[in-house]
Amino acid sequence: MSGREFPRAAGSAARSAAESASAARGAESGEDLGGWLRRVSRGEQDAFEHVYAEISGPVYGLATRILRDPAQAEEVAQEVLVEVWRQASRFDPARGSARGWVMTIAHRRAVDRVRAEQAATERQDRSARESARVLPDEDVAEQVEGRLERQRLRHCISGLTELQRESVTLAYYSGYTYQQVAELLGAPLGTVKTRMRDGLARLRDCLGVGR
Amino acid sequence: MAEADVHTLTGAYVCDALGEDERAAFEAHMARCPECEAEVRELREVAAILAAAVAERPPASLKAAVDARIAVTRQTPPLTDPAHGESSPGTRQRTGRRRLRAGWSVAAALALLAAGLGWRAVDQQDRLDALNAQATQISQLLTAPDVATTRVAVTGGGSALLVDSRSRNEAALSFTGLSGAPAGKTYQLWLMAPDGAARSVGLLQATQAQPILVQGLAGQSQVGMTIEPAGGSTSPTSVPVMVAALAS
Repeated sequence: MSGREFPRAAGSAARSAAESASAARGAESGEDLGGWLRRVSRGEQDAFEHVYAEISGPVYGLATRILRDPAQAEEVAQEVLVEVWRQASRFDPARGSARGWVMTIAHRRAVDRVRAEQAATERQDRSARESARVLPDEDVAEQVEGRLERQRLRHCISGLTELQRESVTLAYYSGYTYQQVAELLGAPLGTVKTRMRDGLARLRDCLGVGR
Repeated sequence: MAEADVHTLTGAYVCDALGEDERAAFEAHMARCPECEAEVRELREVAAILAAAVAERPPASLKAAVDARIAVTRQTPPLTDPAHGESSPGTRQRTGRRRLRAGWSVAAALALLAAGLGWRAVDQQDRLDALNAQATQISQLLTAPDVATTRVAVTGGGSALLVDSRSRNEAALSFTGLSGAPAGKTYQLWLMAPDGAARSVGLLQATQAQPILVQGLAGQSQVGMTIEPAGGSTSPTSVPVMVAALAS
């Protein structure tokens, strides 16, 4: 080419569209999240599209649940997803599922943010407690598989004692320490930490996971 | 705290319901308690289901921001087993490299870029000053209200991610998986105006596929890359292998 012509490179736009479409299918394309993470750890940005498609909803939803404020939740979700990209090589399938690894990072980040805030202002304990009791509505479901899992979870949670349920949900969804949960529930510290443990263990057995 | 007592903290630990001191104490305990570790592993799977149950569709701005940030975020190398002196499968990283803190990853990416292109790498202080300035510019670009991201394929292999902002009048480009220019040739980047005029942005090595900051977008509509003779050309002499449109 002799002049200063600068035409669009053939096929680039089309291929880009195809890549996005395949990324959107991420979860159903055969490779599991752990497999995609392994590819991400080698710097494959295309593989990260699949990881993003699978985990951004749970990460953002959990951050929203814990932080309540959408803007802050988005900030935390952004930090978590970048952390997943950065630390992908540290995911070890021998030590748990890929989803468990991601959600552990997400929960810790969101809770750390809440604690930092609590240090400054006391939050509205009552409203948090009330909302923590409510399980999510069906409308968050996007995939059949997710919906089934949610139904099972709802069923399993209904099998917990009230103290187990409150202890687990106040800690997990509201980001309270077990001391704060004990205070809210008017229960002894030892009881609350035991209920968190046996509540989760009962869910584990009911859901049939982790064994 | 008594050992038996610590052991009952698995649930609270998985829920992140321990204060900092207790968390540290529990982790120290778990390091020599395989049963605790196994229980934590199981309960974490339950927690992940609790998390999945509250999934929500994130706003589109989250995707754009994450894409923009990973483009300039260096990844942590895998942990390796010093006893075997061999890295885990699929990696070629060396043992013992220092972990990068998140705040420094932009600077680290830019350090590679500066090394590759020889930008201002006159002496150490000059280089640090330049890196700090570049890191600041990129983080400002990423938080601009009108930041846009575009990913396009590069002919012959690889892809480019363009992050640009009209209000900042600048763009950042990052490449992955470039196959490399043929012997005696080089990649050259251009800013293109609607009338076809091209302004050289600089030369690029395939091995230095790290973020590049481009300034002065006024009047320009596209960013492109061509393969040129070593040393570069004053205007494009071949069909571009990559063209990405700047946000209007």
